[in-house]
Amino acid sequence: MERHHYILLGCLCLLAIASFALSLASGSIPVSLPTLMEQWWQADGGMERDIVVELRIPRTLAAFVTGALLALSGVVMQVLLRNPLADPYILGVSGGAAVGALGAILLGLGGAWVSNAAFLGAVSSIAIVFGLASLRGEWNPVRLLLTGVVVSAGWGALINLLLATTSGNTVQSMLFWLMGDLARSRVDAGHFAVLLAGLVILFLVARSLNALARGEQLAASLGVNTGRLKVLLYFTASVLTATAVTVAGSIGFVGLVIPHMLRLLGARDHRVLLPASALLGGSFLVVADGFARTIIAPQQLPVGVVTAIIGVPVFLFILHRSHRQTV
Amino acid sequence: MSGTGELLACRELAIAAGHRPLLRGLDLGIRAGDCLGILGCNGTGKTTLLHTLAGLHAPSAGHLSLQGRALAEWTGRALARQVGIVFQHHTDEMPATVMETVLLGRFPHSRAWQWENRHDREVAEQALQQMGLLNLAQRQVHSLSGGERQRLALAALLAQAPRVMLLDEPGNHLDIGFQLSSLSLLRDRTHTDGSALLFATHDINLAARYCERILLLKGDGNFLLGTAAEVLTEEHLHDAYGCRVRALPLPDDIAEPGTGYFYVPDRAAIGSGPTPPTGAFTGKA
Repeated sequence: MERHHYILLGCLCLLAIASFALSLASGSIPVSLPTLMEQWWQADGGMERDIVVELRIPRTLAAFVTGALLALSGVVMQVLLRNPLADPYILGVSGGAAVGALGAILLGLGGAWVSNAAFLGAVSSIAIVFGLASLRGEWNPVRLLLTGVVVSAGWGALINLLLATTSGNTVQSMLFWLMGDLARSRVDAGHFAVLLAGLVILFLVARSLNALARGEQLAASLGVNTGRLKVLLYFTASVLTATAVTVAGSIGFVGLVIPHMLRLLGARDHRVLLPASALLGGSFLVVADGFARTIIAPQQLPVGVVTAIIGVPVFLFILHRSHRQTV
Repeated sequence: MSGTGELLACRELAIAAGHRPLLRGLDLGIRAGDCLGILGCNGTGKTTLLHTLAGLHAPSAGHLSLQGRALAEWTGRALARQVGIVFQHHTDEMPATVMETVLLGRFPHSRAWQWENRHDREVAEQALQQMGLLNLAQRQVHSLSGGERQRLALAALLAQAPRVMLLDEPGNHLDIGFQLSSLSLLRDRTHTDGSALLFATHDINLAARYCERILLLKGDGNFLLGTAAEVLTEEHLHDAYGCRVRALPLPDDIAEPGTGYFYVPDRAAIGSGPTPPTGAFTGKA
């Protein structure tokens, strides 16, 4: 690992801490550190403490985990498909989850049911795409991509059908789910475990990812078992995405843009890119969610809107800057 | 090392592209210090044969062994320490620097979760130095010229340091100076460290210069295998390429190394005959 990699990872850790602090402090009701400290040890607490503990900490954790999952999944999808436009949703995981979630909302089922239905939808989509893409044995990126995109389109049609045949307030909550929303998101140890397991598994194959990113044939000639690696990557990325989608709906932009930002900042080696993506993806979504809660407070924006509003200019800036450097 | 001293051995090897047989019944032994040229016109299976020898393509029949052990029994990483290949086309879908690309050649030399150590870096730097790319180490690969990329691929092979080096069109994109310097470097290496070099090429003269033996593929399953002097005759080349090739004796001072002949298409090589001079270049000489 080179020095600029350590610096990058160090900065990202600081960024993560800063984003947490910012997120806990911001919202419709301002909370200051002294007030919080004062209330912390009181037996009956206080309003500020309750807001932080009951609302903001869980939501911030949910945002961080979701962002980290999506960014990791994005890195893997881009390498697996060798396509810079790939994002965690490209192979239809979010479509399947959305159909499940919207179905549950339509039936008037509540929070946990919606999450479970979303997860079920995601898992069935993962299985369908894997089954169809591997019908003829060998699966190459183009075949996998086409299968995923077509299955995605199928889910899209079902989503539209559900939206078109539903009326009133139900459509509103469906749309919020579709745009990605952290308002009711909660994460537990299971979600952290998925994130951690994903990170560890991917880190162990990080050097193979470096090789695969330069071409499948090249990776195979260097001794990478590309067949096995691709299946591992597909399922790991899919489970990461499914988990993220289950927590917060399909929040766009994080999984597509975070990996590219880091590559443009010099983190092309996956041993750096993977942890860096998790950190930056998490921090980014925490900050975006902070804005979503405060820009038009007490109204809240869907966080998916904010990720795009922040992400587009930042990404274009980095792209422009790095272009000037290399040319 | 096997008892017979063969690094790589093919017995009754057959390869096919889909259902089309390309090569049948090849018996070939490659020893330390060997250099074999693979010739044949387009689509005769040169690339497929190289991929087969690298373990990337399954032969349709026959036996293939590396150091006395069946190729299929080798694990990927161990195989990649023994056999390395430079592909004809270089893909780079994802961004990387020159140094990162060369360091990939060190991939088979440590476990997947290990970082490259000082030795790996030194080997990589030396490989870049040998291919004249050290000053470009931090450049993005996509900003390189075609020739620089080809040298980069050769440098990655040097860093990989396999016993058997397989090259697909090593002269691609390289100017004549780099063609000779890079192939001479690899050829010298076969003499000093007991590795072997196999390369597929369309350049008969390049093969004649460096290879003791030539495998001339016909593309229908048949082939010719022998010393360069035996295989590279006007008759065989005409037969293989469907075009008349003349072997002109070289002057003594440049006949070595090689067969001592320079191979050029005959005047009657092109079906319609030579195009009449247009006069465009005959103006003011």
